[in-house]
Amino acid sequence: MKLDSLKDAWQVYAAQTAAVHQVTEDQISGLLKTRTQNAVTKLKKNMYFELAMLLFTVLLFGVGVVLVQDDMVFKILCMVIVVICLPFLGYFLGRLQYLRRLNVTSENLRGTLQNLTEMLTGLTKLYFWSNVLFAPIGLAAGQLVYLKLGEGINLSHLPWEQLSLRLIIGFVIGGVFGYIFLRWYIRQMYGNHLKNLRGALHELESLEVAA
Amino acid sequence: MENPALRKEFVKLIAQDQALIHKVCSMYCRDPEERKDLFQEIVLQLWRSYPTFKHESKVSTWMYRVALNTAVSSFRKESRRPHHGSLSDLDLQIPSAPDTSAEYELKIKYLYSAIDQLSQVEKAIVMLYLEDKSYDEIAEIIGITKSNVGVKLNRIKAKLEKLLTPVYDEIR
Repeated sequence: MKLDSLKDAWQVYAAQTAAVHQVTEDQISGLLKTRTQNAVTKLKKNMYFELAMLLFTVLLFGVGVVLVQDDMVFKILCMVIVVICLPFLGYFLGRLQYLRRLNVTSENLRGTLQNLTEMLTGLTKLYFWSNVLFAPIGLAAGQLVYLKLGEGINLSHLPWEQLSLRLIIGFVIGGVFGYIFLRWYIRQMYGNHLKNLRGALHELESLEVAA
Repeated sequence: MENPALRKEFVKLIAQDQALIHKVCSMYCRDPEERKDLFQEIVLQLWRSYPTFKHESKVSTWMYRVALNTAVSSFRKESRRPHHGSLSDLDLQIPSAPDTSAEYELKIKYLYSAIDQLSQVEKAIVMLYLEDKSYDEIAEIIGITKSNVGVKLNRIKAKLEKLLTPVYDEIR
């Protein structure tokens, strides 16, 4: 059996089956109104969510900085959160602009795989490490915010040992669980896809290296 | 992007050359729903890249490039089909084509099943080969040298022939 002998048969068969699935011009126009579902879109959705969360956090704690006057510790906590979030907000906005400009189909297959692999690796790393940082900060700060707003406790009156213990516990639990959850989440979201992209790219690059 | 004349021109082009996209979809998806999703994704990516298409290469080369890039790099559910199994054990979920003899159809179905066992990149190369594309065009679409197209194709042919020879002998 030679593959060449199947060329004609394959072409006829492929053309016949393609004809079965034929769509009209109206249907094609309709398709152009739908949204793309590729990895970049998925990543963009995550970025928008991340940006919305960051913006909400900055606004919430920004209000805390301005309005809270009687509790210096709480005011400092709000300032620290805002200062940590602001550079990330700028960085995420920049990355989002980059993603919006990115066209994954302007190159040949090898170039596209290279671009996608680099972009997905970089952005998932950014997503992972920024959230690994935010999870402990969020849990530690969340406890103090709860004490302040839920229990009405003035944080400046809390003993330093109790305050630092709460912060440390929040950091450790948030850090450990955040790290484990994010590893699992990113693997679920992009792990197999990234592995497949890297595999395909390696297949093409190893061919060039061998030559 | 929202230029009505450009949109009309694009829709006409896709309607005329849609067989090419359907062939790519059939090569990468067996599930009808997945095939529809991939078709939609390819059309959207073609539309996105259409304004920058400068006609430096053939329209079909551009379409194959975008379609194969999209198919290889898109998110799809992992296939449950076992790899490296015997072809005769496979469930041949290939649509029937009209006006074909049973033996011919069975041969083509086994060919598709054998292709299913290839990697994503190999599928792209073998499809372009079966579509009678020149080594130059394959090299341009895939992004490897012409000589490496030859090397890769020989390996793919050997793989397919090893898989297909026993079942084709049985059909005869």
